[in-house]
Amino acid sequence: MRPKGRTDTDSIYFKYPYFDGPFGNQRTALTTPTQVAIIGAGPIGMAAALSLAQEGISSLIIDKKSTFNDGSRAICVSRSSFYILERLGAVASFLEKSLAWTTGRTFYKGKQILEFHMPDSADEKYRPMYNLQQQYIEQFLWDAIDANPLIETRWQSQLTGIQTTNKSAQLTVQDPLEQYTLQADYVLACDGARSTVRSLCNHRLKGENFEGRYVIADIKMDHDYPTIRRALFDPECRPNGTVLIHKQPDNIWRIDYQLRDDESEEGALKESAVRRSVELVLKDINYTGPWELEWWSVYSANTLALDDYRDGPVFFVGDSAHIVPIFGVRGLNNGLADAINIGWKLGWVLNGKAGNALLNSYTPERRGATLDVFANATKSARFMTPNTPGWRIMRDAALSLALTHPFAGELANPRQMTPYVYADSPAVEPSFNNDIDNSPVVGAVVPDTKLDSGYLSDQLGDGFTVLCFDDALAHELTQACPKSYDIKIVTLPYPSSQADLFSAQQQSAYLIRPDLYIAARWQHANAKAILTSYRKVTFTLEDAT
Amino acid sequence: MNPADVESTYELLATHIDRFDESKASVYLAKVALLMANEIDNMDTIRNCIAAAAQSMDG
Ligand SMILES: Cc1cc2nc3c(=O)[nH]c(=O)nc-3n(C[C@H](O)[C@H](O)[C@H](O)COP(=O)(O)OP(=O)(O)OC[C@H]3O[C@@H](n4cnc5c(N)ncnc54)[C@H](O)[C@@H]3O)c2cc1C
Repeated sequence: MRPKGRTDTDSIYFKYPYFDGPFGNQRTALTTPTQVAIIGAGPIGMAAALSLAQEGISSLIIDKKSTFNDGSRAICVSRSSFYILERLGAVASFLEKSLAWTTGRTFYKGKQILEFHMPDSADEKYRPMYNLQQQYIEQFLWDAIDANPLIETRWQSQLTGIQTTNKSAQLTVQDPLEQYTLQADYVLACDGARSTVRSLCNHRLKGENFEGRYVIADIKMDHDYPTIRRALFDPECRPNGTVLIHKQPDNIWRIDYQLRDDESEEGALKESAVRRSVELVLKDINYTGPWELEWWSVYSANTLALDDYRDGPVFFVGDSAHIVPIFGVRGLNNGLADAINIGWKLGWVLNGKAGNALLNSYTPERRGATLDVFANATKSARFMTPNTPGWRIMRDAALSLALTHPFAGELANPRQMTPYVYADSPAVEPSFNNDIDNSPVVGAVVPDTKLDSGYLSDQLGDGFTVLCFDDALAHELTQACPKSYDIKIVTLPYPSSQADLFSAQQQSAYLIRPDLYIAARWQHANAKAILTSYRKVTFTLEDAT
Repeated sequence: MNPADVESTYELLATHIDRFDESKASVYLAKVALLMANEIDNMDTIRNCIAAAAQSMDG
């Protein structure tokens, strides 16, 4: 919502573009069948299209709107998402515009009880977290899409019907001029929390609703404070409640505040009520200067997901598959990980580099990740908005004890975001040599590290990468590797600190997937074993499909 | 722990609980538990104490 007199996209700092529906030449091919249709040009639909394009696969995006989503919405973009954006060829504008941060401060009754630092070091190419308004996120992804000849986008085009068989889907689309149908071999349902595809296919999200409701408000002010996440527990402005404050680019500040049980959503969302609540928060943080109200909304903490992210030719990606509480900062980040996961897999199946069965690993990997997010988010939710006497008593005890005893303050550390380990996925080698101490495990994201020039991640291939530490093994593999295999071989020095990071011996090797997850590893590798694993995890081994 | 110390603990807790009204008393006891757990620093012992206290509530 926006102040009186301003429309949904009438922002004080961002110019929302206007996109026409299909016209002229574009209309002659409206009903031409497409290999992949993507429903929804939100951040996740756009990321999925870019990921497919990365594999050389063209796609058609349809979205019912004529511009980007209104309001700043998801603002915290994690390090792992920056690697994804880099793979999608879009990271430069994100780096330029966003505000990086590593530190959070937690206050109880106005006194600081915790300062936490998220893991960071010179071996990391990206910072743990970046703040950026969602409309910029969508703008930067759109810029990449607009420049990509493999992606066609139809705005003002609403999906109103879908009929599926095992092989394809028939879509009904309504645009400003007509209704038409078109066939797609695969459909990526990226149509958000209220997914049309989901309800047309008769699927329901399942899970829990938490009690806490938050108003999120963006204001513009000249406030002199670094990019540090502030969490205020039981502050004067919201007795017994919680407030979160984030800095965003363009002097925009996000203020999230919890509603009391007796506050109605309707009343709290009135402009006058938002202004009053924001004013009180600003008083608490000693800001007395002028400010402008930009946008506000409300959210509640839910943990909801589909049982299966796939229904025949349809894959559910992003918010259409799951809704997660916002203080876990996973809504967008989790969705981006979905998008690249289905993007490379579908791309590899369609361009013949992988067997069909690879697609069956999408649900276990990404639904598994969502359940992991739920576990963490439930923890945060209980701390931010405890919903039983037990959680409330312990939370209150921890907070007030933390004023004098720092160990109790650690309980307020949100410990955000380490990517989920795909340990049980069919698209990694099951617990292969799990006895290599302290080394990155199969199913984890490959760690980055500084090299003489640049980072290890700069060296990784667009397809699979074999990381090894021995020139002879690299040579043997080069000789043995068929031309059609999309494998890049990277040799790191041995002995070296990089080899230590991987607990590597000279004969060790790691097989890394296009999405940077570790597919297999060996303490004593040989070319044959590596190539067999490649065939297994790409489902191109006869007996593995 | 010798009987005298057990008794002192008992008396100290009783007199301190009485300094707070009932709603605050449970937060106070929770803090005592967190502080003691932090000193004990042995998860098995702590888990056993928490479970034993719950079990003895049945009677
Ligand atoms: C008001 C609000 C505030 C939020 N705040 C936060 C926050 O603070 N932090 C956080 O992490 N996350 C937040 N989120 C969630 C975050 O915005 C989402 O996780 C993220 O946008 C997910 O992206 P998506 O692409 O999956 O879905 P969306 O961004 O919802 O995109 C879905 C797209 O599908 C299109 N679409 C829908 N139905 C159809 C149809 N039938 N035909 C054609 N197109 C269709 C829509 O027009 C839209 O463009 C917020 C969400 C909302 C709504």
